[in-house]
Amino acid sequence: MMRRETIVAGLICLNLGLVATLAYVWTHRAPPSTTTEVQAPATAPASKTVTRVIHTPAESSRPAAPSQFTWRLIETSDFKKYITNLRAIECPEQTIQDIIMAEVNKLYAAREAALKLRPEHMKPWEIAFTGRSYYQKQKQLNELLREKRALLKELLGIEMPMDTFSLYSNRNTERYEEAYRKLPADKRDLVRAIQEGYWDQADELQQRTKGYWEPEDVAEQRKTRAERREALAKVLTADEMVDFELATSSTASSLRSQLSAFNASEQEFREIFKLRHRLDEEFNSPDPGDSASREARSRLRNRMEEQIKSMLGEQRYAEYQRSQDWGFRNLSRVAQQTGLPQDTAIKAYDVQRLASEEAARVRTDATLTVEQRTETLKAMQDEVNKTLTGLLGQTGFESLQRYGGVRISSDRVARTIVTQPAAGPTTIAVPRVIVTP
Amino acid sequence: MKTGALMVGLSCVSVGLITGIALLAKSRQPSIAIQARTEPQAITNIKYRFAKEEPAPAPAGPAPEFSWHSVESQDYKEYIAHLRAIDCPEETIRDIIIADVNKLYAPREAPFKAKTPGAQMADEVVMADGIIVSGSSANRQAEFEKRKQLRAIQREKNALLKELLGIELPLETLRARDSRNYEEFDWAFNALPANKRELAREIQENYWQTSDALKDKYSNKRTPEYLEEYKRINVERRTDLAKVLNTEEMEDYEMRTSNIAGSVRSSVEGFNVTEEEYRKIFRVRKEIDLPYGGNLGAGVAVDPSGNLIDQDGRSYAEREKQAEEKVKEALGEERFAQYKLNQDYTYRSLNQLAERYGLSQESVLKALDIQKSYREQQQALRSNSALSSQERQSASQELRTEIDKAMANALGEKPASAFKKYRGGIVYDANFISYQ
Repeated sequence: MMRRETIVAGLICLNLGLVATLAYVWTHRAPPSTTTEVQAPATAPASKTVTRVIHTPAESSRPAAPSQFTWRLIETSDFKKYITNLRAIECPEQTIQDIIMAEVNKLYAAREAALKLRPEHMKPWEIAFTGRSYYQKQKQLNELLREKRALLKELLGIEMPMDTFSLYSNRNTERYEEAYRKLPADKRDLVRAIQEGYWDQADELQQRTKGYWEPEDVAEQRKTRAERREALAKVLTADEMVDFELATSSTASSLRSQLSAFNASEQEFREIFKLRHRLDEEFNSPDPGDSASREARSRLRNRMEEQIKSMLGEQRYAEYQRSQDWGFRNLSRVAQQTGLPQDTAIKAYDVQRLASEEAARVRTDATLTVEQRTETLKAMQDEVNKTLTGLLGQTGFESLQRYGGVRISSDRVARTIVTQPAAGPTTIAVPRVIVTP
Repeated sequence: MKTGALMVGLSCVSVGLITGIALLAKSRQPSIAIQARTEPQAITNIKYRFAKEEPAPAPAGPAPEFSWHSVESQDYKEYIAHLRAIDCPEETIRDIIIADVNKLYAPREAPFKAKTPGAQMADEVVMADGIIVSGSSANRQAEFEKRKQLRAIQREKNALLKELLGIELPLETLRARDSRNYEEFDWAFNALPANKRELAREIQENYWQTSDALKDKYSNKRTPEYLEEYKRINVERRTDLAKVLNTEEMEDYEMRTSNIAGSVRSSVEGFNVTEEEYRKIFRVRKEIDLPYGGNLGAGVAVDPSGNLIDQDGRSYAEREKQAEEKVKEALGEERFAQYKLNQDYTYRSLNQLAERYGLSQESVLKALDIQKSYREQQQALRSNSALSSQERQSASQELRTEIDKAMANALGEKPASAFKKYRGGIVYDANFISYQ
């Protein structure tokens, strides 16, 4: 009897324990799919809330078993919560990025299309509309693109290059993005903001002046340029600043082309660039009547040449000057393409230079008739061509011809420069250009 | 007996509770359910995903009850099935898979996307056989070959995406060797219905390659033979496109891509053209300007000596006149007058000036009259044989001074001065006299 009571008591205890276990399991089961979400940790409120569009699958396709995990448990219209929920189920960061970026892109693509600024968003007859409203749309589009970039950075911590739009300038944004990437991470956003702020001001000025620059507009342009430089200088070190300008400025691009035959060391290039950049930044007026700016530029240019000479020394400066001549640059390029040493390009350049000097003398030689001058120049041309073919080879010479070759003989020049032909000798000596190989 | 029944009852309750607990516990393991559903699949020839993705950071909240690992699979089909099993929306599945497949193919695409060194330089290239090819042309050909290989990879990628997701993604346009405004064509393809896009793209791409080959055949010379063949390939292109596109789609496509599209767009700038008007103008211009049925605009057909070839025995000027008449007929007198005014370069320049300095339309029209009057008087001076060169020069200078004054009266000193500085003050042949 006593034993039975003990068993009953044991069973009661067991059942109580089981009820407790059941209660625990019940309270810790998966939450009902319709109401519960994986909770996100508290996050700082975003400055601008962008709401997701939730792609709810059709009810019929959803099993909706309350005990099973479904996507609805993590989906939320709040991007930040969505990301937290995805992280909570150990979704890889890369996949989270893919999901969020695709959603954000779709969200903004619709807003961009609504602006009707890009040709793909317009009908052919709408593309024909231009003018003031376009500028407003450009501003809106750029704001939208910046908002999207900021959102992606806030959500995912990634920097997405954006192809901002300008009606006035064909900016190589790719080049700028590359330059931003090379900057220390903590300075990128600041530099980007300065650059884009400057572009906005430049576009605004273009929009306002319509190409008619008044002195106050020129002054404003100078001021915005100076402000950009000052702002950048507060963020970047002197070296970083030069690197940034080297990577992005048009001065650097044209200098690279101009010094292509100079073989400048990095140091030489940087120093020359710094001087040239100042010239372009500070003395580049859009007003053709701005003589003060023109004169100041000319003075600074002379001073710059002296500084370059003193920095490079006599020998290198002579090479620098030679490289400024497009004729030498062409020869240098031909030599490079045909596998000839640079020395050959220099010899060919000497031939070209001497021949040009001699041709200039012949053209102004009043003792020759027009016919004699023409004949002499033609003979000189043949001689120069022969010498150049010997130096560059047939392939190299043909290549040079495609660049325009070396022009000695020209009927037009022979006739126009000399105005008083004199009776000269009937036979003339053809000046020969001798080059020691 | 009572105690016995109680014991049996309690035992049953225990069994019931144990079963309940077991069922509830099981329902907390969805990954097991998914695994049970995904039966081992037969090996397919489809691509496998990367074996490992970067480890996820520690979850911010409590330990997860569901883990992404249970849906991950190296097999795309299995991965998609797992995602569907957890009710992941189809659009999100697409986003995930497209991004994943793009990453899978990126290393194969990269070498064909990189620019050939020096490709942007307009230099010539000495080929291995010593033949010099115009550099830009050689580089363009090399770039085209690369783009063809890239296209093959992209076709493979798109086929995989179609197999996995049942969707057709648009291909990147295969830009041919020679430069064209390919962007305009991209916009035109994208504006077509999705089911026609790829067919139209293919017809256009084949046409470009044939057209480039034709230029090579005739060494870039527009000989009558070249023009005949050019006309033929364009007729073929249009016939092929007409098989794919309906009349309206075809017209919209041409309104975006043909050479005359650009000139029509420019001619209606500032005119606030309606769709109907635009279509009418485009049709007239197309009829007049496309004698060869292709993209050659008016005036570009030349004989071997470079002389313009008249079409149908009519000069370009005659055809222009005829076009103007037809546009006038289509727009009506009033709108045609506005259309013509908007095409006037002087009027456009003055309008821009007015926008800059806040001038009225009345001032613009007054200044326009002054400009026209200057031109007429200048022409009269030019044809006046009774004047010596010096007299003509002097009269012209006087006229110029008068015109400057009149412009300042009409526009105000500052705008007139700006107009003089930036536009020479006279839009019509400003340096007319100096060329006498």
